[in-house]
Amino acid sequence: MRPEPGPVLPGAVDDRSGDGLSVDGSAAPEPGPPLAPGPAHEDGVSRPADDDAVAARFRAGALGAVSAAYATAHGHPVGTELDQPTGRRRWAVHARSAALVLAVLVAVGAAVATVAVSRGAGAPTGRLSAAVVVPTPRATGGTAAPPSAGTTSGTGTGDVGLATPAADGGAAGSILVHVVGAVRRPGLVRLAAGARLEDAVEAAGGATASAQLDAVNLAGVVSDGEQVRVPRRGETPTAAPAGAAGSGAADGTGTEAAGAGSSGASATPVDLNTADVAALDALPGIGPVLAQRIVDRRTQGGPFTSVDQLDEVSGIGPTLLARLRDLVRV
Amino acid sequence: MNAAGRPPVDLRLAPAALGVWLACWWACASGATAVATAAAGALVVGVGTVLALPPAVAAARAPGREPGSGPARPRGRTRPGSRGAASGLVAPAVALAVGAVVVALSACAVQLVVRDRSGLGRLAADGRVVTLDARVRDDPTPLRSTWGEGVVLAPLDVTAVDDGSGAWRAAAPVLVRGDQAWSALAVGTRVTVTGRLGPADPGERDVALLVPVRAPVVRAPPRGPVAVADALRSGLMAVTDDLSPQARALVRGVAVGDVTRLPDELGAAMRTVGLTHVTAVSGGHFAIVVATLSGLCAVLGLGRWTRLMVLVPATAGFVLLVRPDPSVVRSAAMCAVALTGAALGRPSRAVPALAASVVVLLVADPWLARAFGFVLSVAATAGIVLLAGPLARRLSAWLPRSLALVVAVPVAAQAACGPVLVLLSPAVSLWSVPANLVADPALAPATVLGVLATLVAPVWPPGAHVLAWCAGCATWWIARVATTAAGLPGASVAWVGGPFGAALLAVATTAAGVALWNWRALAGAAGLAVPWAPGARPSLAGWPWVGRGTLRACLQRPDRPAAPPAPVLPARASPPPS
Repeated sequence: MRPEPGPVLPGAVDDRSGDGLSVDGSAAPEPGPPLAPGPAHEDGVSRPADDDAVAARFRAGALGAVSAAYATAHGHPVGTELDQPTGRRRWAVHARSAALVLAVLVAVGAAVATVAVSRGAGAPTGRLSAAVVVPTPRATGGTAAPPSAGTTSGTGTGDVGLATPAADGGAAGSILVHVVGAVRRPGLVRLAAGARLEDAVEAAGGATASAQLDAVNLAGVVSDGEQVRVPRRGETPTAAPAGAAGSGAADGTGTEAAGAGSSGASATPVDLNTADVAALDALPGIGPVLAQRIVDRRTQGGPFTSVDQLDEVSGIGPTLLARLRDLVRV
Repeated sequence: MNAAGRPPVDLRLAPAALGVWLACWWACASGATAVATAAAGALVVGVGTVLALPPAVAAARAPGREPGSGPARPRGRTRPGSRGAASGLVAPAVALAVGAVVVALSACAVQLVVRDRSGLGRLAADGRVVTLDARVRDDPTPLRSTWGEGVVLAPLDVTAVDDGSGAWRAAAPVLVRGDQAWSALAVGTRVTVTGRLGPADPGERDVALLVPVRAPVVRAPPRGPVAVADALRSGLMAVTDDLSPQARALVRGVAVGDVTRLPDELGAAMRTVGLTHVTAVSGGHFAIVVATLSGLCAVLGLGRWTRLMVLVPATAGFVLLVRPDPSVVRSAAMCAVALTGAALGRPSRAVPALAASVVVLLVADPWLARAFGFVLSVAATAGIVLLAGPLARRLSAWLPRSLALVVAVPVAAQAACGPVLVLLSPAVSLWSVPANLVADPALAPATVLGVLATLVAPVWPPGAHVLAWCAGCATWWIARVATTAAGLPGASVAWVGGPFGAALLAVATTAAGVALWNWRALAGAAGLAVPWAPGARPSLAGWPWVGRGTLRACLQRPDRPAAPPAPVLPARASPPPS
C-alpha cells in the first residue's frame, strides 16, 4: 500500500500513504513510546515501513504502552523530546489523502443522516395513553366516593352528608360509623365491613318518624370513619360538620334532593368543553379571570382533549391542576 | 528523511476541524433551510475555488506577485519551504476543508429537519400540554439554586408525541424540569410523561423544556449494557456511602462521574482554582484508564489483535459506565482513532487524531460545538499538544528539564482554556497552575482505585470498600489542595466577562507568550544580564528509564474541566410555580 519513500520535500509532500486520516505513518516518524528501548525509536526515525515495526513498538514494554496510550488518548506530549525542537508545521494535503478523508467523512455523514431519518420523526403512530391511571393520593373525596364504597354509592350518595377522612380503612373486620340526624340513638355504631346505610340506621335505633328516608340511599355501602346524616322532613341536607377540610370538599355535598339548584358546583365533574364561565368560576382555586382564560383557550385552541391541557392556561400550574383533576372532565 | 529527524506537526486536518467547528456553532442555532442553503453555497464556492486555484498558485510562484482572492491564500502562505510543490497541494487542502464543512452542514441540516418534523418546537412555542414517550438520555441532576429546591433536570430523548388530537413518532431531545420523582430514573429507562412544553434557547441541544403535570410512568427499565452500567454505579454508591464527605463525592466523581453528592463549598473551591476537571470523569481520567489497560496488556504480553480485542470493548464499556459526556467522548474518539491506526498498522499521533475526532464528532453531533465541556476539552488537548513541547523547551532555560515539562503542561492547558473559562465565570485564578501541578499526582491512583472499586463492588463489597477507601485517601489530597488554594489571596481575580473578556485574556496570554519567547531580547533591552542559555540544563537522558517512566506516568496532567460549573441553568430557574 505504501510506495517507497524516495526523496520528498520535508514536511510538505511526504504523504503518499493515501491515508490522510491522522494515523498516517508516513509523516509520523517518531510516534512511538519515548521509553521504547532502542530499536523502536531508531526505527521510527527511519519510517516504520511495515507492520513489524508497529508490532515491535507494541511490544516495547508496559510503560511504553502506558505512555503511548495516554498520549494518544489525551494528547500529552510524552513523545516530545526536549532536545528536538518541534518539526515544522505541515498543512499541505495530497489529493489522494484529501479524497480519502472526504470519502470517509461523507460515509460518516451519510450514516448519521440515515440513523436520524430512520427514527421516522413525524410518522403517525398509535395514541399514547395520556390518561395513565397514576395512584396519586387524592386531596379529599368530596365528590368521589371512597373506593371501598363501591360503585353503587357513586355520585348517588350525595344526599347523605358524607365526611370521609382521607384514610378509609374498613376493608376487613368491623367498621365504625357516626350516624346523626333523624335516628333514635344518634352516635357511633359498629358494623360489619360492607354494611349498607340501612344497617347503620338500624344500628342507631332506626329512623324517627320525621326522617325523610327517601333523601338518602339506604342501599349505599358505608365505610369506616364515615359520618351519616339522616335528614328530617323538610330539612335541606347540609354539609357534614366534620373536618373534611380538603379543597373542593365543601362543594361536594349533595344538593339534588332538595332541588337546590342555586349551587353552581355539582357533584358531577365540570365538563371543560361545555361549562360556562360561571360554572368554571365555582371550581376551587378558579376565579372569574382564570375561568375566562379557560373559555378563551377553548375558543381559540379548540376543545380540550384532556384535563391535563388545563396546564396550558396561563395561571394554572401543576399544583392547581392536581387539585382540579377530579373536579373536571372533558 | 525529515530535515533534522524531526516530526512535522501534522496540521493537515486542522483547517477542516476549525471550519467544521465554526459551521456547526452557527448551524445549531439556525433553521434547517438556512443550514441547507449554506451547505449548498459552501459546496459551490468550494468547487469554484478549487477549480480556480491551480493557476493562481502557479502565478503566485512567480516572485513578487501578490495573489488574488480565495480562502486558500493564507493556507498557501503559511507553508514555508514548499513552494515548489505548492501548486498541487493547496487545492486539495481547500477541498478537504470545504468538503468537511459541507458534509457537516448537510448532516446538521438533516438532523435539524428531523427535529422539526418531531414538531416539538412548534408545540413548545404555543406552550401546549403533550404526552411524550421518551427514553432517559442522561442522569437526572438536581438543580442547585436558592429557590429551585427539589427541582430535578432530566434530559430525555423523545420517541413519540401525543398532543391530544393525534400522535406521531419523534426524535428530539427534551429537558424535563421535574420534581424529586425524576431523580430516581436511571439512564435508558423508557417513560411516558405528560406536561407543558416551553421553548428552549436557540442553539441548545434540547428543542424544548417540559414541566410535567403528572408523575412519570415507567414503561420499561433500562436493558442490556446500560443496565449493567447502572448496576455497577449503584454498587459503588453503596460501598462509598459511609466514607467522608469529600471521599464520597470525589471517589464517585473520578470513578463514574457522579458529582451529585459533592459538598457545595468543596465544589466552589474546585471551581475557583480550576480543578473541576478532577471532580468528574473527563478526558484525563479516560486516558488514565486506557493507559492502565494498555500497560496491563503489555505486561501480559498480548499480541496486537488480542490487545485490540481487549481495549475496544473495555473503552466502550468505560464510556458507557461514566456516561458519554463531551470530554469523555472527545477522549474516546481520539482513542478510537489511535486504535484504528493500530488496527491498520499505523502509529497514531495526537494532533491529527484530535482534529479527526473533532471533525467526526461534530458531523455526528453538531451540538457539541456549543458544549462547554467539549470546547474546554478540545482546547486543553490542543494546548497541550501544540504548546507544551515548545513551552517546556523555553522554560528549560530556567528550570531543570524534567520540571520544565511538568510545568509546561498545565501552563499550556491553562493558556488554551483560560479564555473559554472566562466566558463561564469572569474570574482568573492565579493559583490554577500550581494547584493542578500539586493535585494531579493523586489523580491517577484515585481513578484507577475508584474504577477497580466500581468493578469489584457487585461481587465483593468489602474489598470494594477497601479500594474505595484507598481512592478516598488520594482524593483527600486533591480536596485538600483545592480548599487550601482557594483560600489563598488571589485565588479568584475578577476579570472582564463576556466575549470581550475572553478576547482580552487571549491577547494577554499571547503577549505573555511572545514575551517569553523573546525574553532574551527583552532582557537585553532592559539591561539585564542573561543568566544562561536555553538548553544548557542537564538532560533527562541520563536518568534510568524506569525513573523517567515513573516520573512521566505520575506527572501526566489531565485536561481541563469536564463539567463546567453549572453555567446557564440556574438562570433559567424561573420563580417558583404558582
